[in-house]
Amino acid sequence: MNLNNIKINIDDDNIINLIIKPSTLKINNEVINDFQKTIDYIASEKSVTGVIISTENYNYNFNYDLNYLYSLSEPALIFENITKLTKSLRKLETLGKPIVSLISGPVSLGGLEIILHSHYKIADAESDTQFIFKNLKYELIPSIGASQRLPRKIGIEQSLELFLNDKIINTEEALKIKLIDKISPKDKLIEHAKEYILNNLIAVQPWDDKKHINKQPTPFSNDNLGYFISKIAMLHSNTSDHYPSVKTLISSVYEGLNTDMNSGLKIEARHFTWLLGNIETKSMIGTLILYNSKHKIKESEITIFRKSFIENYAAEGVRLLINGVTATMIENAGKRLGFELGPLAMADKIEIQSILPQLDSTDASVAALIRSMQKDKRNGLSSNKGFYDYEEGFRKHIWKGLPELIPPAEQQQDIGEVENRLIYSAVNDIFYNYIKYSELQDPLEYDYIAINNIGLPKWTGGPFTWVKQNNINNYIKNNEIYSRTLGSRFIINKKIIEVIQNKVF
Amino acid sequence: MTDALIFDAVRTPRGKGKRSGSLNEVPPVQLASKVLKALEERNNINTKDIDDVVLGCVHPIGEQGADIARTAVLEANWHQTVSGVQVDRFCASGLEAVNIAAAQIMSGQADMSVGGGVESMSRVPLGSSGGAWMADPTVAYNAYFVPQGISADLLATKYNYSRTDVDKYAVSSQKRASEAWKEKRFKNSIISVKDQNDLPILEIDEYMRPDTTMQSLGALDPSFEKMGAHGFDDVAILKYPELETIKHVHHAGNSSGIVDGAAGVLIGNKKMGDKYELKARAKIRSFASIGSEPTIMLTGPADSAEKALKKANMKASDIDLFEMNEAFAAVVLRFMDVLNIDHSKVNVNGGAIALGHPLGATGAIILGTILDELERRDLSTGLITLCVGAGMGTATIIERI
Repeated sequence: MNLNNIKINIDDDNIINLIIKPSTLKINNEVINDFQKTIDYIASEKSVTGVIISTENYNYNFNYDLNYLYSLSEPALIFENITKLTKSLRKLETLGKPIVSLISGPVSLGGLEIILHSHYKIADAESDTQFIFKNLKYELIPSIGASQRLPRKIGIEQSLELFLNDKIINTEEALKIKLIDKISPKDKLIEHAKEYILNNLIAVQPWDDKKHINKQPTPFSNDNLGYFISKIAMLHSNTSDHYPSVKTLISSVYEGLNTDMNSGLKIEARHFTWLLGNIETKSMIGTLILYNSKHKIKESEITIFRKSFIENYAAEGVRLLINGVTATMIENAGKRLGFELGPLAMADKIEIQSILPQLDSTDASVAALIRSMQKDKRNGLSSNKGFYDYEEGFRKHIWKGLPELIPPAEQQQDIGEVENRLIYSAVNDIFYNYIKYSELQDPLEYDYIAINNIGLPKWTGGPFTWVKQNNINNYIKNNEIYSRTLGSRFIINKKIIEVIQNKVF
Repeated sequence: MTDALIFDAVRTPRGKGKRSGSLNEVPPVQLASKVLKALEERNNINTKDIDDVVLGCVHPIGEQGADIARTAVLEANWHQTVSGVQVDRFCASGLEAVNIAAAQIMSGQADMSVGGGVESMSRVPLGSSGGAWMADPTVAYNAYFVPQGISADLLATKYNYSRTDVDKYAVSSQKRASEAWKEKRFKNSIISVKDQNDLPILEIDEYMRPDTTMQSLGALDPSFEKMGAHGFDDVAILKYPELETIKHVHHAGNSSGIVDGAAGVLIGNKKMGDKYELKARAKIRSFASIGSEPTIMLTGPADSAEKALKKANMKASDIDLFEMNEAFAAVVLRFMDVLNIDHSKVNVNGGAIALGHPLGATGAIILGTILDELERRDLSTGLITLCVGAGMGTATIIERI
C-alpha cells in the first residue's frame, strides 16, 4: 500500500513497516484518511506479527495543518475529525500486536503523539535525537492523546513539567524517564525492532493491561494531589487569566487521568477543540505560527519602537497615578496584563527622568510629583529608590510616601478599567509609530514584532490582531471616550482603521 | 411552627489531633457512638423515639466514610429504626447538623432528633477527602482557590489586623479557656472518653497552653508564608488587586488547633419533653447559612449572623453571648468589628485557638458551650457562628426557656 502520506510493506516475518513519508507531516484531512486506511488494512490482515513505525529520516516533525483545522470552523467538525484520527491510532495500539517506533532527530509534539502509540520505542544513538516540548503556552495542547499517554507512562508531574517548561530532552534523558525503551546504533534499529516483535508477539499498553491498571497514576494519589493544588496556583499566578492552553492542558491531564484511555482521549479532544476556538489562541497562532516573519522592518526602527513603547507604558502608569489610581492597582494591572514589569517599576528601571518628555509638565500635579521625587533623589532603580524602595537591586515595596504626595481617589476604579487604559495606550503607541515610520508595511509583521520584540503581551497577538479580535467598533468607541478627557494619544489615525478593516487576519 | 427545644448537649474532651494525642487510639465511630450513648443515658430515653441522627463530618472517607452517622447509631446499639445522615458544610458541619435536626422538629416531620458531629483529625487527616474545589484546575482557577490559611492572612491584610492584634487575641483565648477549665465551666457537657474496660482515656481538653504569652507567640514563624510564596499570594492578589502583598500573620498559636472530638445535641418537641420529663433548656430561635466571596473565604460569619438575626427579628445588641469559632484570630476580630460587638460578649470561655477545632464537631460543641454559659450567667440569648470553607457562614440563635 502506498498512499500520499503513508506507505507500508510486509517483510518475511509478516512484520509491517509503516513509513510515514514526509518527516515534516502536516496533519490534515488527507493524512487522517491515510492513517485510517492503513490501520484498517493492518487490522484486517490477521497474519501480521507486528508493526514498525518510522519516517524516511526517522524524524517526527509533525504538526497540525492549522489552515485545515481553521477551515473546519465548526467545533462539531473539528471534534469529529480529531476523533477519527485518535480512533484509528487507538485501533493500532489495541490490536494486541507489538508496535515499535524508530526515532532519530527532532520529535515535535505531533510526532510524540504518534510515537506514544507504540509499545516499544527505539532511538538512534548517533544522531541528535531530541524530544521538543515548546511553546505550549502560546500554541495548542496535544489532541492525539499525548496528554493522556505521557502521564500514564512517565507520571503526571514529570509530564506536566516537560510540557509547561519548554523542555527539550535528548535520548539519554528520554530513556532515563522511560519515555523511550532503548537506544541503538542507527544500523541496528530495524534489527532491534524485529527482535522485540518476535519476542513479544502479544503487546498491551500499560494503561490497557488489566494487571497494571490499578498502578496507573491518578490525580488523587498522594503525591499528585499536592502537586495539582500548588501547580494550579503557580500557573494561575504566572498567566493571570491569559494563555488558556496552560489551564486547558492541566485540566485535560487532571480530568483524563481520573478515568480510562478511551474517555481520556475524548476529554483531551474536547479541550483541544475549545482551545482552537479561543480568541487568544487564535490571535497567537495567527501571528506566531501562521505568519512567517521575514523581518522587513529594520532593527533600528524596532529599537525606536521599543523605546517609545516602554516610555509610554511607564508614563501611562504615572498618569494613572496622577488621576488618583493607587500605585498598587496600577502595578497589579500591568502584571495581570502580562507585561514584563508594572508601569511604575518600569519607570524606575528606565529612570524617571527619561519619561518626563512624555508627561505634561504644565500639569501642576505632574510638576509637583517630579519635583518632590527629584528632591528626595528618587531617580529610579539606579539610586535604589523611585516609585519603589529597593535593596541591592531588588524591589522591596512601593514607596510609602507616594499616597501623601498624590492622594489616591476615595473610590478606586475596577482593575479591569486600569488594565484597559494601559493596553489601549500601549496599542495606540505602536500604531502611532506604525504611521510615522512604516506606513506601507504589513500589519501582520507589525503584530509579530510587537509581541516578539517590542513588549506587547503575546496573548494579544499584536496590536492589529488584538483590535480585530476584540471588535473594532469597541476600540473606536473607547478611544473616543478616553480622548475626551485624557488627550490626543487616544485619537486614532483613520488609516489604522482602514488597515484593520481591509486586512484579513 | 413547632418549637425545636434543646434538651441536652454533650461532647467529648478534645484530644490533640496527632499520633501522640490521647484520642488517636479511638476510632471516630467510637467517639460518635459514645456521645450518642451519653445522650441516651443522661436523658433516660428509649431510642425508638429518636427519628434521626444528623452528624457533621468534613472528611467522610476511610473510617469516617460510608455514613458515619448511621454507623454510630448501630455501634451505640440504638434502635434499628433510628436513621443516620452525615452532612458536610466544612467547619460548620456540626452546627449545620443541629440546624437540620431542628428543622425536622420545627417542620413537624420528626419528634426528636440528634444533631452533632465528629472528626478524628489524627486518624483521618485534614485534606484527605481531596475535592474538585482545590484540585480540579478548571474549578480552582475559576474560584481563585487559595488554602484557608492564605485566606486568613488575606483577611488580616485587607482589614489591617497586625500580628500584634491577632497574637493579643490568641493570648486572651488561652487565658479564658484556662480559667473556664479551672472553674469547671464545661463540666455539664463534657463526657469522659473511656475504653471497653471503663478505663479513662481522656477527660480534659488537652490542646490548651495556658502559659501562652505575647512573647511565646512572637517566637512562632508565620505558617502560610512559604505556601503563599509558591503562587497562592499571587492568586489572592489577582482577586484583590488593591493589595500589594499579603501579610502573613497567622501561625500555629493564633489559629485553631487540630484536634479529635465529637459532640451531640438532643433536640425535640414539647410532646417528647413531656413524655420523658425533660427540661427544655433552650429553643432554637433561628438559623441561617450564607455564601460569601470564596477567596477571602472567612467573612461569612457576620453575614450569616445578620441573616439569622433578621429571621429572629433581633438585632446584634439583643444577643447576650456569642460563640464565633476561632478558626483564625483575624476572623473573630473582623466579626466583632462588622457587628460592632464587644470582646467581653464573644467566646467568653476561650475558643478553638486554645481548645482546638475538630472540624465536623465544633459547631455542636460551641452550641453546648454557650448554652452552659448562658445558664451559668443566667442570661437569655446566644448566637453561634462559624466561618466555612469555600466562602460560607452558618449561624444559629438560641434562647433559654
